Amino acid sequence: MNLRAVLILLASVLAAQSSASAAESPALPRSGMNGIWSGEQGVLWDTSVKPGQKPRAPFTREYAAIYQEALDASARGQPKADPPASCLPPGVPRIMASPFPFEIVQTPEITYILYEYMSQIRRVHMNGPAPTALGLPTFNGRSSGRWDGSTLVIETTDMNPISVLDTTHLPTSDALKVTERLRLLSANQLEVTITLTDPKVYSEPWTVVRTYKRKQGEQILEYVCEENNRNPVQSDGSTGFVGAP
Amino acid sequence: MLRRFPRIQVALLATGLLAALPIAAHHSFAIFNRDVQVTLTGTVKEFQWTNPHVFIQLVVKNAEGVDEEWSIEGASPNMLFRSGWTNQSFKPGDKVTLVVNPLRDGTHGANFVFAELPDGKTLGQLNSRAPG
Repeated sequence: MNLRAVLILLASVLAAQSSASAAESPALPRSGMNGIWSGEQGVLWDTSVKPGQKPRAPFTREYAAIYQEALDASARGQPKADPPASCLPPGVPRIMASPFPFEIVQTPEITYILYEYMSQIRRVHMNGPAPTALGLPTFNGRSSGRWDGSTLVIETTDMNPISVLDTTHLPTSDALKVTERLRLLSANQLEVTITLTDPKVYSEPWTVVRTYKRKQGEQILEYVCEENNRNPVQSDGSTGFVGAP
Repeated sequence: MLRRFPRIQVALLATGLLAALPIAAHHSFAIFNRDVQVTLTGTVKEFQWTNPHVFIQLVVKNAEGVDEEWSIEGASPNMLFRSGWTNQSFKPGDKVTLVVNPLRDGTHGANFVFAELPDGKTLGQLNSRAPG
């Protein structure tokens, strides 16, 4: 056997192995996604960088400048107003980087994702596009879902462009489309591959992978942000602090 | 009583930046000077077990012996509940020592790092064991 034949054989063996590992496991039914999950990465959007490092966003020239402006403002101690600091919802996709758990509940028509953070609810319409009757855009946009084998694919559009991806103020635009691919890595670990497609903000789609651990016996707690927000956003966009009366 | 010293001196005691990172979901921490840790000893006036952040209102005697009220901001009740806190973790009248990151503007507000309780135990935010 010559070298070329050995390489072809090796490549075919590796390909067979990788398709085998990607094969669906009958032990993990779709209903296995139901339950309470908690993120295993931090609240910064780019899971591949350490705090303080710049995210590897494939920004267009225009949005690279917009993001740099936000970083510079923060370095001056005057960070741009972060919507959740005013108790506005984080929106899709930032809600997937919440430090608090969420619960997945599947029905034939709608998959519900119930988040502890800001008491948010996402409704993923499983039988066609989500309705538009409420008016758009909205913080969580409109989501439709479909199954690709045992992977739940959620596509979301029409998000409010005031949302940013994290406290470093990674921007979004009205052209953002979010594709989430949810699959069980095991009965107790969920992987969500999140791809942001936004030709205004990114020169190419930007994908991050987040994982979530099942929280057996956990309960979703109440989180009403408006209860006692003593860090209101100031007129200059900075974070305030309400001291003793 | 108020002591102020650079972070490096208490780095062994406090989990500091790492411990606070997951807490920074709601707002930026740029208003606090994370490079400085101040130790405040005083009496709890009120414990606000509220979203999006809990607050300890602490009355501290300044260098002139005059009472000053400090507002110490912590994480959210849901996060703290999972770390063993309850709405009774601090009660009015409790004598406590708090290690905090002060506001950059110099007013009497700060970010909670950990507490030294009357029974000698310490209370952090991500777990109720001694920090660090």
